[in-house]
Amino acid sequence: MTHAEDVLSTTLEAVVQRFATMVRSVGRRHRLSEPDLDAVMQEVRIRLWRACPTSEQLEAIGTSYVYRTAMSAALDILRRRRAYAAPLTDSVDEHSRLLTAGGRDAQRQLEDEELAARVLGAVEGIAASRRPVVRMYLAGYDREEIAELFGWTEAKTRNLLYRGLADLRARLADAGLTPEHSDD
Amino acid sequence: MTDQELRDNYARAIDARGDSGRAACVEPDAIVALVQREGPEAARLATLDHVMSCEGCRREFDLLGAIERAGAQNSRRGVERIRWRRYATVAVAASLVLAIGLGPGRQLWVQRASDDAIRGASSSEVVLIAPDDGTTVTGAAVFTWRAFPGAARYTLEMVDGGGNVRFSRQLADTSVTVDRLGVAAGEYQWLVRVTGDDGVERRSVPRSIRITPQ
Repeated sequence: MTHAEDVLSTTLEAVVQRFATMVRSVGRRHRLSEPDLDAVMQEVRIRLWRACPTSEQLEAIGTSYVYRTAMSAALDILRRRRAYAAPLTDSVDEHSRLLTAGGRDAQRQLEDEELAARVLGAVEGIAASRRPVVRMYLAGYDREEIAELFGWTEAKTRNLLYRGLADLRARLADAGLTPEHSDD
Repeated sequence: MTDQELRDNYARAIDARGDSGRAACVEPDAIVALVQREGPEAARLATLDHVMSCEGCRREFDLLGAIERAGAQNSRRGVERIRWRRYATVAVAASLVLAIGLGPGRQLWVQRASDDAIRGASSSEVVLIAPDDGTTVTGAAVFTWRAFPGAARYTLEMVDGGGNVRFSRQLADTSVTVDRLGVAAGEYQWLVRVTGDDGVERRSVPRSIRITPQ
């Protein structure tokens, strides 16, 4: 490898790693799959290498260019995977959850699954205007993330979520799932 | 049932549902529109409703959302750096002006103040870069404009002949690639509105653009 190629490779790696670190830091809260991110960053690496043949050009590009390249690369990867029906990789959390479930008492597991299905059924009955917000909250996202996604005020988000969860609890109560039942 | 119990049961139900194929899933472009806050709110809510009930789409949402937030975070840092440099420059300039103004260089100070006023007038414009006026676009289009000092956000808009806004997207960046404009073929004007951190809104001079069917 020539000196120029070596410098180019080092610069490229620094640009890609800087952005990957930012994505990891904001994606850590959720189950962002490391192999998925690696696949995207590999695609970014190739695209930047094609677009910027010299280290000077690479150093001159802004991180907004890297962001646009990453978004476009991710979109292409997702489209390709869907076309070939390949699933996204499972996260470690998911495997550990499945292993835990596998060791449970069968009867207890059956009851848990039945309860979960009734909760899901009740969620699906919530008014369409509130349901997506409730789903997002139940999927583990917090109020701030919901507000940011839609550009809503904290008060509007809180109100929608409060009403949606109240609706959900009322539906569960109607189905005989009272707080006492859940404590059993 | 506590919020945590509801969350645990919801996660269990989604897991139990498993991956029954992706035929009914929303398109990846719709998930991008969701994370970029692009398009009508009702459409984004409908996308979210599916995404949060589908393990495959939710993972795609997390991946695209993390990239989007990293990009936005970086843009904000860039704007903050520009602001800091601007404030630092103003502070240094103010100190110099004060020192000179109190001394024998009052005439020089008057001249400098006049120059600054002229520079201020030119920097108050929102300048579009691409596409050029009268460009014909088929499919994806890259819109670019100059960074405006103190910009809190930019809004790219496309307006039809009747003055109706047919496309609108809020951005932190000064460039965006739009894969699908979602407007009918025809003649439009595109412009950028800038909302400054002082709350004042400025607009660029509109440019004409022709959209042709793909």
